[in-house]
Amino acid sequence: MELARARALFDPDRVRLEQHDPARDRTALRRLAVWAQRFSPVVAVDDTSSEGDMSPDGLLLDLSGCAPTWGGEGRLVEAAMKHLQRLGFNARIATGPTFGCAWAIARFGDRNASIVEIDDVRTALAPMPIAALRVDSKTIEQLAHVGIERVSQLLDMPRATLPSRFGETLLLRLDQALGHAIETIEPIRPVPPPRVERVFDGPTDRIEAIEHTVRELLEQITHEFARRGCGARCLDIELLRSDLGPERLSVTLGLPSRSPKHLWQLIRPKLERAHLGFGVEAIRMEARAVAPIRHEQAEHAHASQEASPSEADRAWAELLDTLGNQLGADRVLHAELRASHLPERAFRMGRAGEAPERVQAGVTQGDRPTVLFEHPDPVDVIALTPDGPVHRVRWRGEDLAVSACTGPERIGSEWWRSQEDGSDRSRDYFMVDVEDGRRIWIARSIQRERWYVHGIWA
Amino acid sequence: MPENDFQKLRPHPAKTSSERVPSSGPIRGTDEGSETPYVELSVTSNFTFLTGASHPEELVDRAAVLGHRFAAITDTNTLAGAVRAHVAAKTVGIPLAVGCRLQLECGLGVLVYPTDRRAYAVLCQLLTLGKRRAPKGQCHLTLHDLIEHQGSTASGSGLLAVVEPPDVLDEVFVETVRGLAWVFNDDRLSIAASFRYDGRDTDRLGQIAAFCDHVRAPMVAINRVLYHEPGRRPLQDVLTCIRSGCTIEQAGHRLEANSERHLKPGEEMRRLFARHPASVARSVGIAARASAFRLDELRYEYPLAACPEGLSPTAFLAREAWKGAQRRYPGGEPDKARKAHEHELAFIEELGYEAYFLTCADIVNFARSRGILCQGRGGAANSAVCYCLGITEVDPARFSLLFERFISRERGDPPDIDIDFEHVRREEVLQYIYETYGRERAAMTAEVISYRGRSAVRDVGKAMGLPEDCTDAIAKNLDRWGETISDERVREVGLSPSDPTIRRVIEIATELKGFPRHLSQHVGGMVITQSPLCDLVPIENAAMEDRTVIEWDKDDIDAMGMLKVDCLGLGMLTCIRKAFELLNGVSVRGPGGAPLTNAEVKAGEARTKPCTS
Repeated sequence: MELARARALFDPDRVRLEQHDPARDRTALRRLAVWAQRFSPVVAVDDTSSEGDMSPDGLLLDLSGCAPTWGGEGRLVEAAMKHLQRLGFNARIATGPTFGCAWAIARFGDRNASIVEIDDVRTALAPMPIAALRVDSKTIEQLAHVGIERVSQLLDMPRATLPSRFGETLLLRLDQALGHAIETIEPIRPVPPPRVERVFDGPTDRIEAIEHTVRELLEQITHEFARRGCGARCLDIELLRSDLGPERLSVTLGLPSRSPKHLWQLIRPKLERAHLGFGVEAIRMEARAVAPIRHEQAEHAHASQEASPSEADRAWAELLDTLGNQLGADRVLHAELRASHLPERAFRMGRAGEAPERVQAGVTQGDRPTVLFEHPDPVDVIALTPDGPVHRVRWRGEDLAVSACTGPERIGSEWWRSQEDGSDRSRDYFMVDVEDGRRIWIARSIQRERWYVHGIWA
Repeated sequence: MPENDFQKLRPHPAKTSSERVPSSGPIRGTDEGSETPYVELSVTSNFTFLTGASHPEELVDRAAVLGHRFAAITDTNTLAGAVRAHVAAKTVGIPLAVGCRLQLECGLGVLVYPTDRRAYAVLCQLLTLGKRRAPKGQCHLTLHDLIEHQGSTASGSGLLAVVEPPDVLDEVFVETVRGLAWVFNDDRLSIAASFRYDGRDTDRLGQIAAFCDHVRAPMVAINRVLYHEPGRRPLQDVLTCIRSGCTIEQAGHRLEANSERHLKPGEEMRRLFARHPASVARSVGIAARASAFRLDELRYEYPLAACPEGLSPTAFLAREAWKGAQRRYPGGEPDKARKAHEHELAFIEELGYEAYFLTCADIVNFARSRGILCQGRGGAANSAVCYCLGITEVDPARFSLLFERFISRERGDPPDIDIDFEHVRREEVLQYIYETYGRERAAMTAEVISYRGRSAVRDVGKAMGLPEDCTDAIAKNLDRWGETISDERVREVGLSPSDPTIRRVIEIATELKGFPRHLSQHVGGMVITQSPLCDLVPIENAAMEDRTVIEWDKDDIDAMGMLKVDCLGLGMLTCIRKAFELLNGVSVRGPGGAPLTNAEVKAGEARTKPCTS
């Protein structure tokens, strides 16, 4: 459903907005797959249901030989259901002799949790709709066209006629569900994060030695990154201290990096502040989050061209990392221009690095102050006529004579945005020079007849 | 109901002038702001398609209510809305300055106003020139064209020009204005100044005033009006979105920053131009000179080309009609027919429509000579003269004709002769008309394509970012709902009435309903004149090759007393001709073995070709 449609159909307070993020869905499902390894060593993310924009929404577990450790399939399903509910998932679970059968029953069965025995496969599948066979919507449509809507109808048809009419996949899926064809799944193999460690002969509190070791470890771990074709997004360093708990240092990066120099620049200030206690016995380094980056050679080839954009982007990202790790990532913002007449809507502050592309938007012709107040400051103004010029200003307890006043600049409201009656809420802006030399930006709300200071030239 | 779809949503002011009471009470001499004489000279109506957000009538009415001495209309590169404004101005009794805003290729905008009939003709020629060399709907004019067509005479008449200064008053502009001042001599050139509310007005007005001193051209106050009252700003913003094909969220700086481009009272203009009072007063002077020309002065003359030397149109028509009567009634004209015939001739002479009948007869004769089946229809079938001339086939001797249904003194409408031609060969007839009378004298009538309920909702919904199915739900029901739309109605189609976007789409679409969207060509109306047609009205290219169209539609030309001949294409006539060919092919011959013609199937006329109105 489109957003505007949802808004049009329901009252505004009944609609909650959330941005759909397929990448996050995928990551979440993958994480859940790792979690599900407690039930079976063979767990796969089910990709068959991802048609079009839909994200994959299922996990396949090979339970061969796993049930007895849980005291039977029933117990296992029960436990899985309970845990998933606790995690906040609304799950449907089915077990069966084939993946296809379990897939169908989990999605189209009438209970949230079901177990199909080996002899019941045919009877369980018969009343299912064709969609339960994991075929694409085109095939479903074709079959519906000739009146076939249930698996049972398909089972009654002569096998040989199916492939020529509806494609090979249909028969394969049917066979897989019934157990006539083999189906394998590709289980997830959790890759341990890159990790290096150095144990000292004895505790040391010599910062030079520690720094040296950290740099060596960085060299090692970046080699590992290069081998895997990735770079660090988040790097943890643990200093194991004698008689004290480990000291943890952590750096996060905007763009993945495997440059030891850059990583060292980020780590160094933190290392200098680290509390070494009675001495450090070992240093452990682990890349908690990694992301793929292009191969070194490709990058060199690219870099040979003058003013390569990737070079500029990387320098930009390194600057943001440095600032972000020093000040905190939330405190490094960048302004994005937006095309709007309203001064407070003419830009948007975003977390730096989240939208690296700089948008080209027209800029208003009018003069704008260097500092725009987030909350306009009420002010008392003496003016002869409503739309100017301003003669005296009483602002923040000071009574100020006006030496020059330019304006008005009249800016109408964005009528399509206001939720109320849509009455025109225009403002008049004046650029006012006051006697002490300051230049302030005063707005008059025409409908409310109130004056505000909206910004100053600093 | 397709018929309903084609109904005129907004009647031409000429059709409603008798019952139309201007919206806001007394017309002239209200106290509101009438102390300061002012006339808005830059008025863009919705005939500058997808830009202006008010009808010409609304603008004229509002100008009258505000106590302006004159109303004006200056659509960009067109006079399409001029007749409507003229009729509206006559109704409310305010003189109108007809003008046009020329958007030149170099980016300069110049407002021009003719001061007399000759200057008006020059303006029409200028627009025709720009339009004929551009694709449909565009107008390519340069500064050079304007200088060549400024229509100055020794008596000081000609076009008045008001130049809109660019943002930067640079050397180029100084030279341009100097060049224009050279040709627009005798105080006919002014520099426009407007209060834009962009924060720099004081400086800018000062700069323009200094500039005016420098080039010795006077400054005149305008407000670049796009709508008659500020409440139309949402509609104007939506029009901008429709024009640039974006949604309101994306439109950004393409929209106007505020709602100031409406008609303002003189008092307000005096306050805004407090330091330049002469510029406000000057607007009245310009409008007074411009309104010396009235569209009423346009004299429509019917072409005399069809008359042989030495015969007056009256005598020629009488001769042709008598000749025709002899042909129609070889045994002598029956009394009833003769009486009708004589009565009609006298009537036609009195109203001066002879040339019109002769032209129709000429076209019909041409078609006959080429073997193109044709048939007059509609009101003209009530005329004995039309029967004698061979335009129609309804015998006045056998039927009681209602001539007054066709032409009547009381109604004052010009006669309307519609002729059907075989639809596949109609183009031959049209090209014959263009050839005989020349492209300067003959052109198709325009058809103003207006927003209907559905198209309005579609375009507004799209601009407001509504998804298509929601828009469709409203579009399907808007016509049925009528003027007032209750929450119930909105809920009925499954939408939430409390959603402000839905409300706004409905409101704006209701306003947009009846707005002209573009000009198209009338199905068959040809306008033919004696003097060059492009002296009367600008002519532009049609989408179809080899067609030229005037800027006015059939209501406009009715209001101006211009006559048109409707040359319509009728598929059934093609069908009948093919039937004749088949009959002739199987050697079914008419009497005497001659090939069968239209005339010989007359026996079953009433049944086979019931061509009545």
